Amino acid sequence: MKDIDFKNIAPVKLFKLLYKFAKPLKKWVKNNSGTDADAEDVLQDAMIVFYQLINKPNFTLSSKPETLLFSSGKKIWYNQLRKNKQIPLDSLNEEWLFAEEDNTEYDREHQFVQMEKSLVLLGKKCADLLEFFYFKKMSMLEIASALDFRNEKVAKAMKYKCLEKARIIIHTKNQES
Amino acid sequence: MMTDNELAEAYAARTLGGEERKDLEKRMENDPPFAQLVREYENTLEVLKRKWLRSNIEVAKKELWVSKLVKIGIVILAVSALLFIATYKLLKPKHHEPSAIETIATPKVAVESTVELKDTLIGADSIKFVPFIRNNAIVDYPDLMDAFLKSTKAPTEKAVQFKLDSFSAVPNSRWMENAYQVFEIDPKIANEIKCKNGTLINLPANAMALKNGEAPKGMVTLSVQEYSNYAEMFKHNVTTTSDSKLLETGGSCFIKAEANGDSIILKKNQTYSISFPSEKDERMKTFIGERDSNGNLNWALDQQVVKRTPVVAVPVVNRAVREDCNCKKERYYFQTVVSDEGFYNPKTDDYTHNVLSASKKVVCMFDTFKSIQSTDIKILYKEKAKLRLRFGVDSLGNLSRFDYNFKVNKKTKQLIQEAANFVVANYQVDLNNKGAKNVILNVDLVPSLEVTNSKAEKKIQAIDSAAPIEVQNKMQKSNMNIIVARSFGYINCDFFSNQPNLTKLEVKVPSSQTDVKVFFKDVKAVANCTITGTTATFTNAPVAASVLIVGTVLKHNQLMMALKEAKVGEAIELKDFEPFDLNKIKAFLTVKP
Repeated sequence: MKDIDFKNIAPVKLFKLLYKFAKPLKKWVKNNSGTDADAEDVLQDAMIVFYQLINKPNFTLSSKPETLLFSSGKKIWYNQLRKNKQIPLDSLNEEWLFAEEDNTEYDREHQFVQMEKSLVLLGKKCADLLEFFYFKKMSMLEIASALDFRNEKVAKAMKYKCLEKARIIIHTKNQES
Repeated sequence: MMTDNELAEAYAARTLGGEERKDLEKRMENDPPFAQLVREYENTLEVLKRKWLRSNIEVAKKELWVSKLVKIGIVILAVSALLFIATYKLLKPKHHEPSAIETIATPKVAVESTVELKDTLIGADSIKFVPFIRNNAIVDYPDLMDAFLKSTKAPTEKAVQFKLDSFSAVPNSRWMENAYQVFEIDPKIANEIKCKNGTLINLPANAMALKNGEAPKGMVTLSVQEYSNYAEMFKHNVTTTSDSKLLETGGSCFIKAEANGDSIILKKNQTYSISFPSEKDERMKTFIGERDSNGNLNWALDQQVVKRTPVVAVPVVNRAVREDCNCKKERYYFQTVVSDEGFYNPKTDDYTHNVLSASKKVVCMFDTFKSIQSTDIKILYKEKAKLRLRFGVDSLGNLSRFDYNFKVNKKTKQLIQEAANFVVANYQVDLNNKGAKNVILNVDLVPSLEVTNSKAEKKIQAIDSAAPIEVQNKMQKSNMNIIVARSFGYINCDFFSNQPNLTKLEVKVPSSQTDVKVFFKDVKAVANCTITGTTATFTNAPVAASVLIVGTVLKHNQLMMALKEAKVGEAIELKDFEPFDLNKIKAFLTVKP
């Protein structure tokens, strides 16, 4: 596992690998007042954090991937419990205090989860268009063909409109929270 | 000039160069509303990225589940297969013990399947001789008699010493009776029987009956002789002539079926197929053989089979494809022009070529042309196109090469070539004078099981009854010669030799009792000579053909033989007779025409 270059791995492949380390984290969440659904949510959030961390320009993976995933998941769950004021008394140990010190990133994580949920308002076609453009790096011509736009100019105009719509939705949600 | 929004988006998406980024960062320090705009875009892209990552997580999760399910499926299948094999072994019926002169194949019961034949029966390893019996006499042939005496099976007729002072004829009619490859099959299921020299017999399920029409109870014993080479043909006195006309053979065999001692026949109108491991030749037809009182074999073309087999295997697109379509606007038509190879006309000794009524009939239409298996070829096409198919059917109902015309007009789209049932060999695209595209494909077609036209369906059934279509497909792909037969007995796969110049082959022999067989070296054909005085003659021999001649005769109760290599037209004489040696004859006849 050490030989794998996690930085240059395709996301789906990376997540498939990470799922192999899922059990300890899910078990831990469930032992700490979490349900099955909570455990799955925390795992997915931890995977995203993992992805974001390893793709930071100067980041090098010094620990085992399972350790990084587990610690990320722990912090996410503690943070969530803290927000909901559900910290069990027996969890108020050194580990928790340590987690308390460095929770800014996980606060932000929580906000993003909320904003992500609001993206349903964007609509499927817009979401697909933005995903194709920004993350799958498809050309406007390919996007026009895939999404049935008349030509690339129409696709480009639609991309602008969709991005604006997304920005407004997210900004509104951000202000609400 | 970029707007503020475009600049903010470019900054957030990191598409700006280093200098531009720095300029914008400076601007953000002094322009809070612009800085806010940039943050909004950064947040938006971040959220979109997270959403994209989450969808990737879902895909990963799904793929892991699928691979898990596949693994479970494989385990379940493996366990089921083991259980099936265990059950099968427990329930397998016992086979009868082989007698000393009968070799019994290890019988394997084919697994019932309406789609695919699952099992193959393997033929016997050796065939042994019994002595020649003629006119109630056993002839004392040293090596053959030896084999006979070692066997436990008594001759069916009374043994009398054969008394002759000089030459006597070589009897031949009885010696093949105990020399079979024997298979035990379940008549209720489809069986593919593989004989030891590669002949495949494909018997459909429930194809056999007792003479009173009842279905046989239990297993059926199928006894087969394969005449796959000249040595085998010599041993079994098999020639390839039809009323003295030479036939070129692709293989022949003898089949008989029995159940509990009762003869088994094929049901009325039932056919089966035999494939012979010889070089494929479209001219091959089914011939059936009969022995005369002297044991000489004569073959006759099975005209019923010829008449039955011009089958229109029409379907090109199966129902699954048509049901798969969801576009109502586009509609395509398949049209066919079908012709058969013709019927044999004994009066003119030729084939009459008929075009079947299916000419230009619309055989199927469907709404869109959607690929379900592969995307071998992409063709530009336009809406409301008409497709025309033309293909030929040979006498066995196999589709030969055909043309596939695809005419198009109006709006251009992309067509993914349907490849479920046929493979595009090559194609060409022309523009006609009106600018429409005309795509002509040369396609190798494999007939489909699905039919869309009731008349065609009936004709397809004829093919089905001949052999399951999957078997035909399989055979079609193989390079074997396949024939359809409607009875057991002597079956030959051959055609009338069309050598242009024929002449009389004459061989001088020492006695009118001499048996003379002619084996042709350039084509696979064998003929018996008729004897007049001391001259053996075959009247329809191709001029200058290379031949191997084997003469056998009894001299003072001793079987003698003479071997001669010659050319038709030469003066040939068999005079150097020596004691019969089967191995020597086998070696002499090892030719591959």
